[in-house]
Parts: sequence; structure tokens; C-alpha cells
Amino acid sequence: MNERDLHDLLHDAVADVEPTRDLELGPRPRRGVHWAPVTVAAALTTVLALTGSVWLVQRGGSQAPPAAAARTTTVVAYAVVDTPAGPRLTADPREVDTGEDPLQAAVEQTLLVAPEARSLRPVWFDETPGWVAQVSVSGSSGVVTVDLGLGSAVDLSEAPKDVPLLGQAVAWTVATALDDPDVQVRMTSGGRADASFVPGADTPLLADGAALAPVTVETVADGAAVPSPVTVTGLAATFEGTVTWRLLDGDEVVREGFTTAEQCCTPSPYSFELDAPPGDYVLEVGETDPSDGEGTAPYVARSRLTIAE
Amino acid sequence: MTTVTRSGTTTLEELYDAHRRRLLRLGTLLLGDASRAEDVVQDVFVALHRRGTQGLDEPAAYLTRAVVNGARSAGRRLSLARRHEEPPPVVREAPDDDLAACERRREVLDALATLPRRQREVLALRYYLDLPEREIARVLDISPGTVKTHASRAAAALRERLDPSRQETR
Repeated sequence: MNERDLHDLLHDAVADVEPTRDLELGPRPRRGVHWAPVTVAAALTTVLALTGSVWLVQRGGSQAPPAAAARTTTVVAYAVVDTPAGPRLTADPREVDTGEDPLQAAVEQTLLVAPEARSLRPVWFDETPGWVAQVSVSGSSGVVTVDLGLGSAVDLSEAPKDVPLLGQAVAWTVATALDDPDVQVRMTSGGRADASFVPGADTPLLADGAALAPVTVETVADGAAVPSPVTVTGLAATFEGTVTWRLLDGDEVVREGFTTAEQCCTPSPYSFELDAPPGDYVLEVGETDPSDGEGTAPYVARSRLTIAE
Repeated sequence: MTTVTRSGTTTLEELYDAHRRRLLRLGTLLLGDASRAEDVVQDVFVALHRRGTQGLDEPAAYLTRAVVNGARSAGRRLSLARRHEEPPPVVREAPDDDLAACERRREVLDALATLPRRQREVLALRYYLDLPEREIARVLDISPGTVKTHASRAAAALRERLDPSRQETR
């Protein structure tokens, strides 16, 4: 099969595909995606009411990022990013269908869906193992259980023995979805807590700031289209709490500024407002370099961003 | 159809008429599903309507990149959905000749779907849109050398999927 054959093969494969409808610029119903049964909704409300209020206030509320359309909403998944200090977790906002339970959807996105940005890696450091068939989330009273739903046919001897950051990725996903830094996360497999490779099987996990990149962006998904102005929020653990940002059109700096996180040196909320003309940009949010170039390069989180008209 | 106002030198309607079939077929190759590909193409044009066509110097490249990105997002949702859904029943209603052609096309789309996402994208851009390596690199934001590597591996993998008896040896 030569190049001409490949050309003919692909053209023939879609030769009978024709448009079936005209351009519709209004909202269109999205095809349904059926998730696993969700059991956490009521508990989520309880947990927020009982334990999440302080952090919620500190973070200025759970500000929903602007969705591209009313039929989708954004949840915060976590993925692995390389930082000067080594691999760390970073927020990776994803759009999901509106109506899905946000906690369940966020955990599924973290555990089952590879990140889109080239700079990010899945929390498994490779593709999600095929035997992780279904993730279910349940919990109450500040303890959330995430079950990996491993089938009985799974040969656990083939399971990874060391997946760094996996447990923390789940802990941060749950803590962010619930706006509760103190929520405890227990991980099980098929209802059992005996899979030694699963972090959190023996001891519930708490979100640990040391696992996070110095700066995370929670409200702007990579490649998202947002209106202007847009409020960008996230967590930063930076020198003196300083967070710098730039909006780039190619090499041209269109906007730039800095803001201060609420606390220094530990993951703490920051926010800034971005106002720019319509166009396609790269948003950089990063830490300052206290050594003025003597130490390692400061970490910068980058995401593609379209400002819509 | 919603009235489209002129914005810049090319209207949204003109772009839609000129590119929708090509984009739909590209999306079908990337997603393996024409219906979902049509959703992606619609979403791309809705987003372009919000953005406006002003300053769109290379609309074909912009639309191609937007469909590739849209197919990635749709593919992620589809991947999750398939973990929870039973496979649909096979319906056979076409005459034998048509059925054979449909099966052959389905076989190619299924084979494409088994390839890693990046390889599938490179194959579709290279052999369906006939884009040069440099342009593919620009659309996918990777180096031309990486395009060449993906294209080579993807072509070999597709040949093997479609004819397992012809496994290539190095």
C-alpha cells in the first residue's frame, strides 16, 4: 500500500458522508452521555454546607468559569506537568455536559481522560489502564470514596506498583470540586481496599500542597473561547505570593500584569481580570524569580485562549 | 438559517458553503462517526460566528485546526460514553454491493480509530486533506520531523490493521 493507496483509502472511507443539515447558529441539544450512577449529590451539598464554607469564602466562592455554551460546564481535572522542581500536578479545566454531577465528572476526567495540552501528561504517566473501566464517587460527612471499579478478571500483578501523584490528583480533584481543602478521600478498587497499589486504600488522603505546581489556572481551559472581560482564578504558592501574567499574540505581549495570592508560599487563591480584544492568544500565568536569574527558571503555566466577540 | 452579516471579506455563510463537506469528512475520519463530526463542524462555525471572521487571514487553516481541536474534545466525551454504553446492534438493510462498500468503509474507520490520536490526525491531514508536512506541523503545533515520524508509523499501523498478514518487519 503506497501513498496513493492511502490517499484513495481515506477518501473512499468518507465518500458517502454528506452534510445533513444547514448551519444552525442557535443552541443545539447535545447528544447524551450516560455516566455511571451518581450517589454523591446530596452528600456534596451537605459537605459544602458543613465544612467547605471557610475555604469557599476565602476563594470568593466557587466561581464557575464561562462556558462556551449553556450546554457545557467546566470542571477542574488534574494532570501532570513538568516544573523546575520535577513533575507536579496542575489544574486542567475541562468542559463537560451540563447536568452531569460536577464531582463525578471531574474525577472521571482526571482518571480516565488524557489531557489535551501537549505540556500535560495523564496522572497515570501513560494512558489510563484499560482495566480501570468505571469510576464511581460516593461519600458523606467530609469523606469521599473513589472506586476504580476494577473487574474481578483484573490481574493485579500487572497493575502499576508506583504511580506518583495519582492519589494526590484524586485528592485535589475532589477538594477543588467541593471547595473543601479538608475533605478526606479514600480510594478502593471494586469495593475492596486491598489493592496495595491504590494510594489511599489504607489511609484516607488529604490534598497536599507539595504535590501542586507553583501556579495553577482553574477557570480557563486550554483552547477555550471566553468573553472579555474574563476573571482568571487559580491557586499559587509563590515567592511573596506574587503571580505574574501575560497575554501573548504570537511574540507580541498584548496585556500583562501581576496580582497577589492571598497567602505566601502555600497554595492560596489568586484572581485577576483579563480584558482584551477578540482573537487567539496564549495566556501565561507564573511565578516571579526571586533570584533574578541565578536560580532555576520560574514556572509558567501556559494555555491557549480565544477571546470571543 | 440565521441571517449572516458580512464581516470582513468573507462571510460565515461563504466559508460554511466552501468548507463544510471537507471539514465534515475530516471530522468523520478523526471521530469515526459522521453524526458527531457534524456536531463538531456546527460548533466550530457557531464559535466562528461569535468570534467573527474579521482578521481571519487563513480561514481554511483556522477551520481545519478548529475541527481537529473540536474532534479531540468530542473524542474525549465519546471515549467516556463508550465506557458506559452497550455496543449498538448491527443493522443490515443495504443491498449486498452497498453493504460491502459500507463494511469496507466501516473497516477503515474502525482501523483508524485504533490508532493513537496524533497518528490518526496526521494521517487524515496528510492523506485526506493532502496537506504538506509543514502545514500539518502548524495545524498540530508539532515539528515537521514529528509529523514525518507519526505519518510513517501511522501508515504502517493502518496497513497492519487492515491486513494483519502483512506485518512489516524492520
